[in-house]
Amino acid sequence: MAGNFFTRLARPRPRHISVFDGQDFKRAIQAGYAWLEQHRAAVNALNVFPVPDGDTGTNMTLTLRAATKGIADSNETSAASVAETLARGALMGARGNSGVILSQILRGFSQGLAGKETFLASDFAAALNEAARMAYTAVIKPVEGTILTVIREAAEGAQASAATGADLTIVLEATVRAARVAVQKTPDLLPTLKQAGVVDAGGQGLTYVLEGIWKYSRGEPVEMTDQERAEQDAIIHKGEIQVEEEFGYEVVFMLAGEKLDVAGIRDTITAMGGVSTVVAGDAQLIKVHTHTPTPGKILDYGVSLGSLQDINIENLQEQSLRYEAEGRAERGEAPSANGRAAVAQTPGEQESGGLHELKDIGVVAVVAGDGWNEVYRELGVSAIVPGGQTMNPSTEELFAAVENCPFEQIILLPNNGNVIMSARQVLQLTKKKAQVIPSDSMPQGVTALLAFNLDSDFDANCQAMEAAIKHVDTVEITRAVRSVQIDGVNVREGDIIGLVNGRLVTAGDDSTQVTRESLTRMGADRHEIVTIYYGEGIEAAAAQTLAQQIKSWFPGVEIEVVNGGQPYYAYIISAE
Amino acid sequence: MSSAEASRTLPSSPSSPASAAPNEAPSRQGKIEVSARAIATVAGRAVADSYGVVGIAARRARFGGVEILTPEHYSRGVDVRFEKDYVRIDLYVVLEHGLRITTIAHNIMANVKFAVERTLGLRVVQVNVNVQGLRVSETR
Repeated sequence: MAGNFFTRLARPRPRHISVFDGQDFKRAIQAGYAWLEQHRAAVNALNVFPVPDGDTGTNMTLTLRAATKGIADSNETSAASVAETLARGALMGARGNSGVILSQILRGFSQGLAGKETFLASDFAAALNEAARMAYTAVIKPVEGTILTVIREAAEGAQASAATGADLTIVLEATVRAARVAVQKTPDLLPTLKQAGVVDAGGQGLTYVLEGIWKYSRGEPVEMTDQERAEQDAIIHKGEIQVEEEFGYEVVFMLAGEKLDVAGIRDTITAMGGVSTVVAGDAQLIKVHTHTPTPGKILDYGVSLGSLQDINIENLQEQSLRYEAEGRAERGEAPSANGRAAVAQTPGEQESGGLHELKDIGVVAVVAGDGWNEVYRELGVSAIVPGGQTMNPSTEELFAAVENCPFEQIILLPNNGNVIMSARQVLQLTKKKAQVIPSDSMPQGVTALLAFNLDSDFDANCQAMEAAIKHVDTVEITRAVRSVQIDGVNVREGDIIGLVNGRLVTAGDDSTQVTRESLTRMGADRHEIVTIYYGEGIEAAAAQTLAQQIKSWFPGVEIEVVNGGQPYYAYIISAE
Repeated sequence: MSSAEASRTLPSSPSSPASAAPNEAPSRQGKIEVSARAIATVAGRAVADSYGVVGIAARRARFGGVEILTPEHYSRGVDVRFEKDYVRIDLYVVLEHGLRITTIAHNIMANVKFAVERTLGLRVVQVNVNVQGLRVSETR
């Protein structure tokens, strides 16, 4: 298990933004626009059969450009207002059939968000549902297998996910997933698509917009890599990127003949081992695009049917390895820093070699709470020692964890001021090369882990991690177990108390008030990202509500909500 | 749009070459004539499939209101005029309020021209869209 974690250590934890205000929504939709823009040509290319609205990608892109123009310089923090401006811009700038539908979708979404300054996952799902409903009203006979199907099923996916109480990022992911599935189904619903061997262009375009929004919520860049750009054509007819299939040679040619049977040719080429096959055109001229280990066979078959033109054959092996690295990085399965580690993992032979280099440094962390355990595991710690405010682990327990760790160099994250001393004592006992990063809270430990870099040596890592924890402020919200007066704050037993970086700053009987005061004292508005880790016995919905409140107090910051599951502390809130 | 043209296309004898001057597509075995009404059917379907169109309307308002046609009567909202070897088509529609009318109208023009030219091989030089009304969808 350690090896697996280590390949992921350099990866920043995906962000989970839970609540959007106007500015978040603005940036999200701009990301959706940017992502669509980059796929414009690919969406256009899906219109391989003659249709009056032949530039779906261009039309949707221009419509969205017009829509986002009005919000580009806006500082509006109300999500509803931004959505309204968007809808108006789309209405005025709608181009083509797909653009009109997109404008109607944005209009429905805006109506669904009416009056909402900020929105959570459930609001998003409801608004998307309204968008789908509106999209269906503006046509006499809605045709399935089009963008209409995709928006409806995307909205259904969003609602199902939101019903589980998932946060916005997760719901957006479910939305994108549902949209992709719907896009794949379009040829089954619309015979013209099946004949041409493509998916619906408008539905695909909409999916790119949703993907861009999702990427934004994860804090990912919406910039295609060169490989993605190169592969765009080949993968466009599949919503899901299945890199495993990219192998052998890419064969592209035009085939001129008489009475060509498009569907039959596609089936034959697929039967001959062609993968990702696209055959499009009419009885006289078709374009074939396929991947195969044996290009000769495919070409021979083509020659038997007619005359070949514009033949292009490329070896995909090299391209594919690089591409897979990108794909894995995108899915968050491997470090993306330079793609090296991910490439090394693909063929079995190189895998052990790649991992061998990496298994030098282990991280042992003291963690309390199921959710926290998961966060730390995701970040690739080698061992977790259970601990916390009232059950500090002993030096022996820490020593045992260090000794059992299969690495010779160990970094210790005590994550509690009271544990730092015990951790330091371990350094005297062990023969391994070990160092303590004096993290005094679990959020600090997380930040330290994010600063960990596999390419650096032990000392450089210790330095980077120690520097990183200085940038984290932590607020803890808990309940006083006895009446005291500390630092001029009067606390009665049972009061809600707020601590900033371990110091008591406020107390009272209103949890919201205490949280607000603590965050203000901490200077939340000076930070970029606030992460709420909610504790044992706190409902996810309550944490979401708190996120919304924090967003309204400090509009500039991004808010994440994570299930920490820690005992005693209702909320641990970190700010970076 | 004179009333003379309107009455000419509708219930008139469909395949009378003299009155309807239908399209003639010469073929080896004989000739094919397409009536105005057939063209209107093709055009009407293309209109009905256009996004933003919520109804095809009768040319004339009845009892002061717009009359929305059922599919079998679409041709009452579609005027086809033959001119030499091409056709002009006038359409009467009700659109969804809140969408960009000009864009929808252009989409309708493109759809109708495409459908008629493709299925019938007729050249369509003009498609005129007359918006008879807008429907305001209730919002929740």
